[in-house]
Amino acid sequence: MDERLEKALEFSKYRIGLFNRKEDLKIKFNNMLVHAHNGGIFKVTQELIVFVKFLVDSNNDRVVLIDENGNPIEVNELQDFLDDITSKYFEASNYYHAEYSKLRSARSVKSIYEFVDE
Amino acid sequence: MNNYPPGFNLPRGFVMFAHNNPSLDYGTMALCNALMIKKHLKENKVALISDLGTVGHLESNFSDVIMRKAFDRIIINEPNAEEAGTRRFGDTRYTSFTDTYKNTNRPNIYDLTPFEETVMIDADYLMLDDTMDLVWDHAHDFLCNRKTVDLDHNSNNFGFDNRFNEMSIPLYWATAIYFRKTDNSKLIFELMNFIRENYAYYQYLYRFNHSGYFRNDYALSIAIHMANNLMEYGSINPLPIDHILFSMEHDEMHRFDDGKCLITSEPVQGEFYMHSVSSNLHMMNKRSILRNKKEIIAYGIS
Repeated sequence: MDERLEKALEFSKYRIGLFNRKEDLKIKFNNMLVHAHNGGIFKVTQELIVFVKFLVDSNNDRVVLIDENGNPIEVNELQDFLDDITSKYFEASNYYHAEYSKLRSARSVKSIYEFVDE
Repeated sequence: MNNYPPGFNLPRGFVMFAHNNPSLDYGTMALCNALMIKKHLKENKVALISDLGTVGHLESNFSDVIMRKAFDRIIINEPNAEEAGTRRFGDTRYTSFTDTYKNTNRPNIYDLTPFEETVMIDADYLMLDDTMDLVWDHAHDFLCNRKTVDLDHNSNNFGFDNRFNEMSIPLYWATAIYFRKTDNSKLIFELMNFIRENYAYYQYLYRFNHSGYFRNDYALSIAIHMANNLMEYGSINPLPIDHILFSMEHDEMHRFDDGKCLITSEPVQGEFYMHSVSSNLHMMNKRSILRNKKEIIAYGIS
């Protein structure tokens, strides 16, 4: 095979591997952002964090939030809820960042997957 | 069979069914998955519902220590041999085999489970993360998923946007079901049993192809449709992670290391894509799990 074509195909494999790994990471990141509270399921988003922070700053202690499935969920001790979702957001985003940084420095198909040291 | 702790009415836990056939060791698959549950989840009681042959095989292959670490309860429930179906199983794109498939006793879960709150999962739905800890004490008493995503990020894997056919009802997956012991849950499982007993009739009514064996997914979907007054949209909420991530029968798990699976998918023959997976995964190539059993068990008991 022509050397240029061989190199191009090798690079193409690397690109697909990189894309797949990024997509796998996104799934993991999104799963890590799911939070359960009082029978409800919440996806921790920047919007949710800011909204809850606003409610806390407005001196609310207990409110009703609508969860991912449209269920009205009573949230008591709003400050604790804010702490929990903020902590969850940082945990997930830090994990995502750490794994993404590893990917950015990966230069081969093998090293995209953590099983093999480069 | 060894003596395992007796007793019902435990608060929360997982239930798996495992009935070996000559080609597939479902018992070992369930043991691997039970150890993943113990490793990754805080609520990690596991009950195995199985038959004497499968449990005997497990006990002859694994030490008492491993068995007791994996399973908190073992409940014997012999499936009706006359109802066993025949199924083709894939093992990558290059091998397949046909064998018996004994899965008709799953709708009896409501009476068999030792738990007040149960998550019933397939033995090959590997619990690789802690997200199932979010399910307990949910506002709804019965949860299961409609969405599926494969490793190549396709979400319409079986066509028809996850319906039986283009004009039929939504397809729900029995791969993972959460339920509490309520009248509503009981009704759904009773309907599933009724559908199982009259499977040929419902096959024609809902116009799905008979796979040669009883499909719990189909019975569940029809039961939900019936319980929902024959309406499409209604009361069934998804599990906390609203989709089942799955790997097709033509995929292969090459390595299992430190809780992560290195899997090659092959959506089109000759096109290979690699994936490193550490999220809950329905691994449809069952033999691929069994080829990695030593590593999975070693990780689980470490």
